[in-house]
Amino acid sequence: MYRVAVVKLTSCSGCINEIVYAFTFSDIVSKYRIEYFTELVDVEEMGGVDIVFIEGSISNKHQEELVKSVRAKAGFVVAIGTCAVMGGVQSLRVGSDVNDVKKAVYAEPQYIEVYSDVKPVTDVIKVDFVIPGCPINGSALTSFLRKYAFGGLPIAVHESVCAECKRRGLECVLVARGVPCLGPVTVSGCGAICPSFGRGCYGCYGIKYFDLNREKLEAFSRRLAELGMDRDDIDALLKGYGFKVYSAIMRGGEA
Amino acid sequence: MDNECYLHKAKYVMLETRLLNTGLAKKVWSCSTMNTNELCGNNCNLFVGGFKDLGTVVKLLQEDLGGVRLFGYKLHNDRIEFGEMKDFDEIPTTVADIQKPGYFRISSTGYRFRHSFSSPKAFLLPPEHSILTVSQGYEIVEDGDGEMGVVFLGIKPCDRKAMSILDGILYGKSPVYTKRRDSIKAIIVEECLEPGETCFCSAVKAGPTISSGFDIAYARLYKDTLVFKYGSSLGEKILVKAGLQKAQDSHVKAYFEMVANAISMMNSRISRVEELQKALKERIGDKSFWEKVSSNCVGCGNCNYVCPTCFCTEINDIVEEGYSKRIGMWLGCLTYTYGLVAGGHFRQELYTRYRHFVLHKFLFYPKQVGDVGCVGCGRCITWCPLGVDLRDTLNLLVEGGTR
Repeated sequence: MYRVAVVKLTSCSGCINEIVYAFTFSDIVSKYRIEYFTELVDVEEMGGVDIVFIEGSISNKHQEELVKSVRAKAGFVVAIGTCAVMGGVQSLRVGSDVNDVKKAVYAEPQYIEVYSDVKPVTDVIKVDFVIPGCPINGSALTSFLRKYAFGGLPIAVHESVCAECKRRGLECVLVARGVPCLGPVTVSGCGAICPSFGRGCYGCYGIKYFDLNREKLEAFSRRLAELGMDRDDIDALLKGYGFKVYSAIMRGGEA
Repeated sequence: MDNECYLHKAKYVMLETRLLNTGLAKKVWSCSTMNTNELCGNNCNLFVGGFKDLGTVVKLLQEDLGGVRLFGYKLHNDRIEFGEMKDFDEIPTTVADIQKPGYFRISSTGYRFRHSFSSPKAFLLPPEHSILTVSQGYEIVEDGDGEMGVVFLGIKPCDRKAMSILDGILYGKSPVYTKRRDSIKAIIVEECLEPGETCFCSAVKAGPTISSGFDIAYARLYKDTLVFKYGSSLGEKILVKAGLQKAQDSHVKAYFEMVANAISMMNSRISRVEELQKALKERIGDKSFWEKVSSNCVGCGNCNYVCPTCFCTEINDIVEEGYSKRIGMWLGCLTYTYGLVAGGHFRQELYTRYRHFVLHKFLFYPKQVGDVGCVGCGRCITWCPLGVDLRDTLNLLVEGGTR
């Protein structure tokens, strides 16, 4: 029996729902036991575990220390979701005055203690495995759990959403219908859900942190603009989920 | 010889010369014996008919082979893809494809269809194919793909040449490919008399016509006027059985004129292959050149997946409840994962992967299969979301290249 913990930081809980789903399979339940998961188990303090799944990004000192202590107590750390890997949508506030942001959201902003920066988990601790997504793909998680139980790991495939479209036999919405689509610059893993319904990818798995540089991203933005997409919309989409990666690329050099 | 015949002959000698220059003459002009009364012996064994006759031909072929399934380009919901057809009349006859770099549309104003993003590769080496299934007791469970018989209907000469290239790489080596390739009992090819905007098949000797490796071929002269020919004894038997009329001089003349026009249009689109190969060898190490031509490439791999000769796969084990499945899935050399191996990455910079794509097609395939690996279909150009044009790269390679 492997002992599992689930830790949630700043995030929407979409990814940890996929963990709940994974634990509906009898072969997974027979090999893993959830020791710590505030949504499911009445345990206040996390003890030593074999695997910990961390969802969400780091917003303040408390979370940063929590993550470090979790790392010390777990044999294997899996960062799940775009927030934990790239910062997620909340990282859009980076660059704005944090007090303005607080005021825009909370009635009494003085009680909110947050950094002006948003840190992905991968910035603070060493993680052993990453499952991107917003939310993560349930089958990527079950695949991980099943392979880990055999002493292995899923192969990491670094590619664009386009590869999944093509393998599914989906006609390119961008080329064949002129629909603006972020697929070419977005990390794969979703199985090309949006293009399969005829709409463009909006990049929820985050912008590719490999292969892109400023010149290439600008060429891609021009392509979206040619397709009639509003410049502000292009910027919002490209920044949306992987803002930290986007800004690193645009600052120059590859991410 | 009367005047009219003389004029005809002069015109065809001219056409023949143009075709000879392209190296296609023998293929297209399989019956080059001209006599004074006919354009070529027995009108080049060309037959004429309409789509109704094509239906008859397909039906007779299916009867002859017994229980075969039809695969080809089919039109469904304004979308064309390569797949299994319920009936021959699913082939696109009332629409045209408009192809440009990064642009594909189906138009109802034309009637000539070239090809879609998918090709016979989707059948021969499916995007995700099961290699084996292993039980919980570590026993290999046979996969029940079953015996099947397949007829390819309406594939293009470029597609057919791509099959020969894939044969050279995978036949007898990949069990999945070999089994599916062996299931093909007959091939009906549709020749292209008007190339698409991104096509350059004649420049790599892959079209627009076909001379061998098929049973029956047809070309659309006009909307419902098809010119048929056979390429095997089976094909001959079926065409005779179908009772097709011999093509008249006017058909033969129009056919060869359109072929010659298509060839001259496409040949100017890229430099000569020998020149390209020479330039490639010289410029392999020219980093700034490769960075420049790949500056718009984002490494999405679309070119790999739509290419009818790209065959690379990643092996992935999928563990399910009670069994494990090993699948082969398409994975292109343009994607980051491709160069990722135990201990590092051998093509980390994207330009090296773009360069590999071009080098493989034009320099390495000749070593592997004795011919270039590009069939000039132009799919990599059309389906590139950023419209990166392989022809631009090829022409920039060769100084003074056309375009």
